[in-house]
Amino acid sequence: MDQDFVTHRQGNYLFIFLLAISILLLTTHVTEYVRGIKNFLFYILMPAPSSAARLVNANQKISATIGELVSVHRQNVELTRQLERFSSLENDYRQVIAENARLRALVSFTPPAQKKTLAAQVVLREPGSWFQWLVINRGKSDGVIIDSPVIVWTDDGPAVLGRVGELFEHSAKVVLISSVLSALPAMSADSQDDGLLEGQNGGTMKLSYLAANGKIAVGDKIVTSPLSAIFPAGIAVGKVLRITPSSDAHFQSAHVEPRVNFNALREVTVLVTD
Amino acid sequence: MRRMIYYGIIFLVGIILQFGWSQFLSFAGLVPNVIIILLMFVGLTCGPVPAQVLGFLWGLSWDALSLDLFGTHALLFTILGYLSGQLSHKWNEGKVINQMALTLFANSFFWVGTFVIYQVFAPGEFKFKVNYIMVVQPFYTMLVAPVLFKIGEEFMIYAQRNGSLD
Repeated sequence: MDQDFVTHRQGNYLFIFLLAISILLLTTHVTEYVRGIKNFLFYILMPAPSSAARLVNANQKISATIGELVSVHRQNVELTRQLERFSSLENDYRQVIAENARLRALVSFTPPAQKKTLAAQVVLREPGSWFQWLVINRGKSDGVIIDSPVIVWTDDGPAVLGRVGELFEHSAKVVLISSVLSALPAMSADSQDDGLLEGQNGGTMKLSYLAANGKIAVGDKIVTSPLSAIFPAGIAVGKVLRITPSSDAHFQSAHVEPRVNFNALREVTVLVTD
Repeated sequence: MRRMIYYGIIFLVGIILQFGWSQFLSFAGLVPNVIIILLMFVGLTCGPVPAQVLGFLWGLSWDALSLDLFGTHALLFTILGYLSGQLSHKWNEGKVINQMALTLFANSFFWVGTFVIYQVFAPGEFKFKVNYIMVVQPFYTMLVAPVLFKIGEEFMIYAQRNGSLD
């Protein structure tokens, strides 16, 4: 290509030209114009990687299906038994909900906006490491908004994954709780100590601004705080790995291991306003 | 025209491998930087012009898909493409040790460059945390490099037989 189309000098000019464009983009990164270019490129590029990922997932599903068929019958018998039990539990649950609504009305309490869950598939992971962002196949048209909470279901129940950071018509970018762009109020479920959970772009997060005389301890379960404007309170975030003193004598920090397994993220749940 | 198709295929392979199939190459949350490997391959085998153009396009794509400072990857991959192209025909790209050393250097340069760009263009606005990923990922990328170089060489031989690189 060098010899055919461009001389060595033209190649150098091209290099300077491309550098200039890159630097221009870096210096004007906040403008709407650049955001427009970014969104346009996103729409053009998205189909290639997401189709490739779907192709592999489809193949995996076919092979997995054969193996799963064997256990399906056994599960079916067990689930039928459980269904009978849960039917009566659901009945009890509905009565409790109705009672709860009546009691709330009695004390004139306005509940926070009701949320409904929306299942979404992870269509794109961050290409460098997996602790900053990912893309899901749900967007504006599905009722997702900026800052919609995103959770995943683990063996122990729901766990916080992140929040929607950038929104498109049929997809959204999720800022993970482990990203440095993420900060959310969280607390120890055991000692009730409140702090601010900050991502570190790595496998652990930092719970800062914990009172120095607090009772938080290694192994404590960390959950979202009622102070959070985005996440419902009480959703699991992780557990305390170690506690370190802060530079400010009034505070201490805790290193938190996320509950979410970032290596196995396929489906997530978005909480959208009902 | 055939040559353009050849580079177009390499571009698409980079996008698909890095963004679509990276989850199948991950280890402990780490993904090898496939684009850097391909950039080194293109630079060494085809020269600086295709490498810097592909580097710019890959970087722009990465910037569009990520939440990072827009333009960071475009700038760094353009520079890496240009530098690897300067080694074309001066460096034995067939030697595995050369492939690994160059990839290790390029990926380390990428992280250092990212740090510098964040300090220069967005001090305080975009946080940059130094962590183990920046140390471990270049080594992981280095280990994957010979495999992709081998596949790339086979593809190049196939393209030459079909006259795409004449």
